Amino acid sequence: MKAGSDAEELLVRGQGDFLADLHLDALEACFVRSPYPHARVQSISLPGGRGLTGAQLARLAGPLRVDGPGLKAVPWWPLAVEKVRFVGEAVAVVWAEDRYLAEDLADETEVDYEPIPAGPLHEEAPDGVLYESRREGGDFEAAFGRAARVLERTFKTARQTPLPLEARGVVARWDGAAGRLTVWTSTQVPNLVRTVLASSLQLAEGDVRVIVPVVGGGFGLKAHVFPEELAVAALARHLGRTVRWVEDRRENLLASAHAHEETVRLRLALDDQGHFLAVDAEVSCDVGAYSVFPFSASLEPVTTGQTLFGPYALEAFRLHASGLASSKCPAGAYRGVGMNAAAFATERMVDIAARELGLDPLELRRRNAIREFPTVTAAGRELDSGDYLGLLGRLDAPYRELRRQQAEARREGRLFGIGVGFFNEHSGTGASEYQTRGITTIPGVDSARVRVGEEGTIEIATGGADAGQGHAETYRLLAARELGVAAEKVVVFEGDTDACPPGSGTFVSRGAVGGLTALTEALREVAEKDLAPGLEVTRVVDPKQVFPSGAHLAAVEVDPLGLNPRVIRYLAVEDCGVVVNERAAEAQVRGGVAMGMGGVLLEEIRYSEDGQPLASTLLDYLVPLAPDVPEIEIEHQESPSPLTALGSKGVGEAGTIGAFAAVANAVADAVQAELNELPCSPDRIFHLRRS
Amino acid sequence: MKSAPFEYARPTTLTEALDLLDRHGEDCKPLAGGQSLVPLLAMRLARPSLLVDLDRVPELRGFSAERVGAMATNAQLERRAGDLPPVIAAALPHIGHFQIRNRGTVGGSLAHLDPAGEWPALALLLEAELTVESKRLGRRTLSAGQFMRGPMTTALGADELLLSVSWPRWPAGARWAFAEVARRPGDFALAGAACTVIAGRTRAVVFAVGPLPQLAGDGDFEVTGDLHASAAYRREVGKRLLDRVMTQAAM
Amino acid sequence: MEQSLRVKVNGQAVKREVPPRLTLADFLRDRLRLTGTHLGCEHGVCGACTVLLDGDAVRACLLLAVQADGREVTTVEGMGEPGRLTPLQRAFLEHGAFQCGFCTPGFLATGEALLRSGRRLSRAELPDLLAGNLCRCTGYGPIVDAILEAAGSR
Repeated sequence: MKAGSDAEELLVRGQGDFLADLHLDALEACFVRSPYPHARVQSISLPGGRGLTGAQLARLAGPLRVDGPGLKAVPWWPLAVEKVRFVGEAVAVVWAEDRYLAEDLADETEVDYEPIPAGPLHEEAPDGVLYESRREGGDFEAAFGRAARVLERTFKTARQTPLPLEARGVVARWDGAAGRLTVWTSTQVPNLVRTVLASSLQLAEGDVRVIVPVVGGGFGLKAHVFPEELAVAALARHLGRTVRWVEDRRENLLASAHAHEETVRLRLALDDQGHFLAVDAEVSCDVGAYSVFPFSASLEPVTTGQTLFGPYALEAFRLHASGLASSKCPAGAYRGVGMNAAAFATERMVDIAARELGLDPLELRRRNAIREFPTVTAAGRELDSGDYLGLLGRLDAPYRELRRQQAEARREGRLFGIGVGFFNEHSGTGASEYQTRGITTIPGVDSARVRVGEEGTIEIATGGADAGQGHAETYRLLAARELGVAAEKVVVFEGDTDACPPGSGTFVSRGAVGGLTALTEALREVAEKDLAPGLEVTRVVDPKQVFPSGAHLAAVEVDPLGLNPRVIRYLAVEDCGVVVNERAAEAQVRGGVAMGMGGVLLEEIRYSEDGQPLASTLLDYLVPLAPDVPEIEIEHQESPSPLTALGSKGVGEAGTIGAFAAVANAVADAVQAELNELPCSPDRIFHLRRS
Repeated sequence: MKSAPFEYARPTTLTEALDLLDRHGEDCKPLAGGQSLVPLLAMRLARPSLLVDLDRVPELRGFSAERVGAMATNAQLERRAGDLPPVIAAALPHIGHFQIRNRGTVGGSLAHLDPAGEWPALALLLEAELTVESKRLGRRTLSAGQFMRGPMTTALGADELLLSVSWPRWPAGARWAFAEVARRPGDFALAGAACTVIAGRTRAVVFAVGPLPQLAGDGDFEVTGDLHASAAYRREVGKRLLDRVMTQAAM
Repeated sequence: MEQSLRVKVNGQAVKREVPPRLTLADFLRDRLRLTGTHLGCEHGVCGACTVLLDGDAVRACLLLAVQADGREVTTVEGMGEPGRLTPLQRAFLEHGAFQCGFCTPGFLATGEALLRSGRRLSRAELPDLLAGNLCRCTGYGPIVDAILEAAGSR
């Protein structure tokens, strides 16, 4: 829990208490993990009684499970019960006084595996399909019938992982006398963790308290509830002790959550003026061995499917989306989720279309950008506001300047490319939307409580969770503005289910949507009531999705010898509605763009044919370093949303989504080849140019 | 990622160190800078029962223009780069990051023998001689080629220590070039090449492309593919780097 | 068998018996409760555990605690004093050179080492010198700005 600007000073002094820094006098747990991708667990021999097998733990904690339309509900037990389904899945837990000793015990644990060479991972899904849906909007046959031209391409994005610098961690303490469980966990979703723990351990929610310490980055990874959280909590109650598990980087790479392994096949129907008429999309996602909680195996198929050709006017749209199981780490949320692959596939397709039509890529986008708001798209999205031509217009001058530089560079034989990434995205998915989709695992509401202290201090508590986005600073700014008080008098609490109003946590950039709306409404009520001492107002909001947008421009130079691509210039024109905290918003865009650069150029977790992960250290899983990221220029455009109290929209993911498109297009332009598969590694560029 | 348990010894003379290696052989591992060994220990890929810390063995320290003690760190060399053959000075900044170079030793790099490492390539290029010693065989000298057997595999016996590496005096007028390609600064090279022209004789080496650094003056060399780059890429880029360094050195 | 360790940490002499396999990082964090030095990978790549050893920036996760015997270690806790931050720390605050703060102590140690080295730091070269520290939040720009400012003020 952070509270005020002291929090920043604590961090710069190294005094922020991240999960592993808390002194909670705990036993250290360590998981024994499967080296096989698919195997039956025949027997486990635990050293000296300081361990539990999956079968034993199954009596103490129930599994994770997500159900809903189109989904196969498959249970995910905290420890594998009869068989393991991916390398790294936990089969036993052991404990000792410290991690060194616990790893020694894990070493001594003998597990007898019987590898299963072939066959489905789940009985419930004999064909391996964990999620499937179809959707159609507009008169699809008519649109394709009228087409002067149909382009068809297949795009592939690489399996990646969010890699927050702080990996996961959880401490659980059982108070037998009070019958209460207290859990500290590095999470973005404290309320979800509470709900799931209560259900799994058969406790009342009121008997579970979840506390979020200072969190070292989330990026979607920590927006899930994990089997390890259930296992540690169950173990704490079983032993009547405080138990801690701190994830190491190898576990984080193998067994936390992956993302982005998608194949997107697109057919684009165009008329002879270059207008996009309709899109036929086949989105197939490798979602790993289980359906993550709470987002399920539908997360990427749905978010990719609904974001394709997002900012463009289409008459018709058809989508077949599926999530397929595999013997790999389950796939979940990674900043931008399926919108990254959607932006990549869409914007690559648009550049390809531009070349086929002999049109300038920026002009083709202008011709097809949605012009009127609000509008309902062929894909069924209700866009609240935007000025897409305005965004593209801002790229005009720098784009023409870069084309001039490119002409000169090409005369010198240099590989210099320019890429545009034009996109919109959804933010702030609410309860009603989740209900419509049949997802019952996410509350979908955001809440805020404002309390006036006796000495005029203002206490703000929300249902969100900060993983580094600087929530406190934004809330204090807002409170100062709405109430006319000094920011120093405002104290912020987040991340304690006992002390904060229940919400959904922080993901899908909902903080700026439902979060700020709830807070603003509460602050305004407090203002109306003249900041009466002792006054307390709580507001709970069920937000409607609102749609930020952006137009990014990237310049990439590829070294002709080693074919290593480098981003040398980057401009992000972003529209997140009304900007409440410019510093925080720009920080999100900058960090998001850097992450997108990694997603396009560097990040990949490959598995061998027989299910062995090939990237188990940071020497193999590469993320951007300081010399890889140029100065990122940011411009704002504000299309206020009519649906939020301040007109704000989310900004946390835009940078990544735009970069997945702009950087990929720039590399393709630099090497003048159709680069439709990520990452754009030197090796891939080499093979592309050869063929 | 915590190491399995081990015992620890910190000899203060070479004799003491060699004695420990003689007694414990396969069960012990010498500890130099630890930048390669400690990660292996942490991942439990290496499980020695004894670590022999060479930090206080004076005979392994120090360096001159033609001879570097095994425990000299890359950072120490970088600080006196002007005293060394310029091709070494050019290679040093590519070795990891400066924090790694503060601890990583020349002897450690050579004994670890990662095919993408710069030191094995430099040893081959400079026709280095490696002095090793054990209680069992006494002191002996190996050429770089004799020392390097395969990826991560040297000719060192379990009881042998690398004492130093030396090379012929770098003559005035000698020419050289060094180049490598890496995904990000400080990463292991995807391909690398280096060249010297000494007394009219050209000597060129490619590294990070195959199982070991290789002499490649005739343009021919073995390549392997892995997670980071295919064999075809390494062959092509290795060739380009070779051309580049040979052209640069000839100028 | 435990080894005797005598080391100066942030100016204070410390004497402990430690198992040889205990890393310097874990010694600082668990035995001395100096939890500002963070573990991001434990294999020497991310730099979150960077500390100063006799003034040199090193990975605490790649050092055994016993290897620090007879030496001086400076961690983030040893920078600045109660009520006073170092110019580098102040520059980090001013430039928003951190978001989640997990990488920050490592960057501060690297930054201090660079500032003390006396080497000229330029916007063109500094990013390469920071390649040994990973940040997932900021995109690095503000970190470069902060270190350059602190260098300029010297």
